[in-house]
Amino acid sequence: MTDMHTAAQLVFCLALIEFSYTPIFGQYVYQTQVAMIFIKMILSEVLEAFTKDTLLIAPLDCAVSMTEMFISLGADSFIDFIISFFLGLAIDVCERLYIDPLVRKLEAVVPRYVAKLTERVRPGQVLVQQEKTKEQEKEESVVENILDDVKGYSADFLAILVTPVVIVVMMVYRTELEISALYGIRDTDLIFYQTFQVLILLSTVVVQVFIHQIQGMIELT
Amino acid sequence: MMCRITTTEITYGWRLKDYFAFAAWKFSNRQLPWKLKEGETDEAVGEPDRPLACMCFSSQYYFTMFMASFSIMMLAFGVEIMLRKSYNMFADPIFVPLSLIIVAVCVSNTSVNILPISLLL
Repeated sequence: MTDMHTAAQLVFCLALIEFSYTPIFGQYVYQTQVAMIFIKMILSEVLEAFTKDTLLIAPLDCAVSMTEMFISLGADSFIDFIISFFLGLAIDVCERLYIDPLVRKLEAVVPRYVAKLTERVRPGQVLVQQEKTKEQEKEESVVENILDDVKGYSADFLAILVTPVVIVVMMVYRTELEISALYGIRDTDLIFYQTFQVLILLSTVVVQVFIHQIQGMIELT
Repeated sequence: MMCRITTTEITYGWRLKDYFAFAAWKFSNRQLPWKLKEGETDEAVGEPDRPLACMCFSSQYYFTMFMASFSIMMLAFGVEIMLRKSYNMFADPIFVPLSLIIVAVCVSNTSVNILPISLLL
């Protein structure tokens, strides 16, 4: 099962990299970033349903984040690359502040409605299960929310730290990966992309801190 | 990180600092050098989240995460290079011996890896 899961992760990352080599990606780089939010969400939920283990999903989040940063090099120019980075940052802010809490609420609410619907269709079958879950629900939800929140944060944080290393590997194997031909980046220009990734390291960590402060403000008002 | 923990705690009422203190205590008082081998028995945590809770967001968790995600990336790069160069690894005469060596190394590592880990920690 773990092998299948790793293979699924690999295929997804490969598909992303292959897609980034196409001219369509260069044209629709911003739209792709927005679409990625939903693709990631669906993939994560599907894999979690199959594996029943969130620890196995955590490296996927991290690997996909790294692949996302890597494929952003496929933007038509350096300016497009920087714009796509800031767009990615804005998407990340929206995801943390609005989308993720919404998904968590839906995950909590949808099973209740499904249970109610099942109770109407087949009376008496869901009641025993509901009574059991109600007692555990409060305890479980708090710990699970904490775990989910910290898991997401740790995956993003690790991806930010590791991406410069990934780009160094890419620079070393640039001839084999045919970066110059496929991404239209000159070999000498790769150092600018690398410098940018290193420079944003600290500022991205600061941004993460502010995101959580804003998160607090939104929920308090 | 501290700002984040404080605001999240205030906002949601999650006792994050208590949880991290508990996780740190749990990790430092682990019975086995590799935390994941102990398993998680806390019933307050749902079954899918138990291995994650077991790792206590410790150095071992970040090490595992790094190894898993970075190896996925390297694997993707390797397959990409093979695709670009139209290289068929199965047609390579060294493929079978190399695969056997890798499997042997992996199997032997699983039995001896406890020693270097215990030395590191």
